[in-house]
Amino acid sequence: MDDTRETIRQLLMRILQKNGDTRGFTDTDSLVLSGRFQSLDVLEVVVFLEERFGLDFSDGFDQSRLDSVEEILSFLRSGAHE
Amino acid sequence: MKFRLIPPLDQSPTVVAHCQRPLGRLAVLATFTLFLALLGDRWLVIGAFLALTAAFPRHRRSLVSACGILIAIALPDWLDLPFLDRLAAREGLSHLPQFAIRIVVAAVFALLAGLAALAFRFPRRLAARRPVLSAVLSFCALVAVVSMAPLTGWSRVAAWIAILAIARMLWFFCYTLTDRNSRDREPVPLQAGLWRPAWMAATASGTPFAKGAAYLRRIEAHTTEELAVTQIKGLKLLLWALFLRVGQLVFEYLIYRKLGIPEFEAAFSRSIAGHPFAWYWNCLSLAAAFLVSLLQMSVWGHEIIACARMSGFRALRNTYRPLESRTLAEFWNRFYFYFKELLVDMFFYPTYLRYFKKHPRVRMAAATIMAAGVGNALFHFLRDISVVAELGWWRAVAGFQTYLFYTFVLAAGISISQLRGKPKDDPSRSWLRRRLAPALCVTGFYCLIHVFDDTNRTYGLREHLVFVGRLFGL
Repeated sequence: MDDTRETIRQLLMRILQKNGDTRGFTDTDSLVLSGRFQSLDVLEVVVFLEERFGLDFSDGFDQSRLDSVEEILSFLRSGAHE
Repeated sequence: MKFRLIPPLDQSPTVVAHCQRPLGRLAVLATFTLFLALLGDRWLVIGAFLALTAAFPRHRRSLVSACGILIAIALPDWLDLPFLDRLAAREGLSHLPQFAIRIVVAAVFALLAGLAALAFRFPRRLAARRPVLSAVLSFCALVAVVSMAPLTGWSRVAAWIAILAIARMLWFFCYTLTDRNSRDREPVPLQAGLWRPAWMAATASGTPFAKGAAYLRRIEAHTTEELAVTQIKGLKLLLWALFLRVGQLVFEYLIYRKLGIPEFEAAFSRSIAGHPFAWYWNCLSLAAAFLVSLLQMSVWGHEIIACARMSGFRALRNTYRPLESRTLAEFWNRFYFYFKELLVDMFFYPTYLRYFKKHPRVRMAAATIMAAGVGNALFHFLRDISVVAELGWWRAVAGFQTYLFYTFVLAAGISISQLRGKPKDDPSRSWLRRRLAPALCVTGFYCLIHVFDDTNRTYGLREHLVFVGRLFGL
């Protein structure tokens, strides 16, 4: 899970940097609800989760559940479909 | 130190600590209500609601829901009352009593609550799995049935009151339906109060500000410190809205009174009548109207979000520096955040996550067209559904051509913008090329298509295209 955590951190950092946001963030810092991530940024996370973990989001999802590194990990642990 | 018109009081530990004490909370509430009174209508009702949530923060969610339902029923002017009066007169009724409207609105709340309970009970049924599609199709079917059914007198008026009420609650209701699978979702009565949230008591808009219950759960202030910070941010936002409102009035006075730039409606009417103003007056008129609409949107959205913050929810602003946008997609996000979020949640994500998975560019374009094009048009058509009763289906749809064109151009523009991506923020390039030029292009695009941002059925697409021609001296 540590590898996954680091990979997700890197992904989120890359998205933030692309948006010109160079502020740091902890694993629990909010990115979606705080407005640092826009819908398209969340989409990048979704595509990553689809490709990397084979998740299927076609039944819909709540973007605020991908709000932080910790929330994404918790989303993965819960099987993503509750 | 950087000068700020409104000091960052929410970052001052002393102020935050003071605002957690009873006297501080009272001062914040009183100041907020005063600003609200200066800014607009319904300050007393909203002030009372905020006083209740401030007095009983532990019962915030119940109060939000109870007040939302009560205000929506007691003050039903979020419905198109002039249309209902005309309809009642046509049906031979001498007048339309408010209590009749209230009863029907209460019945609509009960009906939607029943449907939501069914969706929660059977989340895997087809209708619950495709909630937006089911809700929109059911609503259209209802309108079709009521339009064609041999209803007269009270029954026809009551049916249309119900239709108008559902139309204005539809997208809030869709957020409830999308919350059906959440483990920690609230029961239906608490969700029902968010179908006309109390912080939207002063507006008839059908756009779900602060989205639905799922979002509110995550942005609710849980400690007294969080609450104090959120409320101070609400107060600051409302003060900013006041400044913008004054700015708007001064701007309008200078532009229209002092400089004599014609108002957009006047310029457009002259164009239709065949006696247009000179092209530069038309351009100035359009630019002024566009800037005024930005200011109006900012003031309106800030007021609503400030109230949501004051009641204890850390909601993001609706409008945030749109003129700084460097892409068309970014402008949309910054200009009308909660409408964009609605379209993203209800149209963009479902399309993106279900179709064209092996074709990334097609996937993105299809999802954008569904949101900015189809969803946008659908939202506005259903919002003004009373037009169907007045003009009939064919004329209501045909008369919508101008706004359909607007959504088509908007969707095409945003799709291209998203496929191209954000321009690189290369520090070696000058500020003019890096920031100003893209921002001007984006603003110019939105300013130009503002001509077609017209949901009235008074003039057709041809007249709007002729006006665009006049902008270029044609």
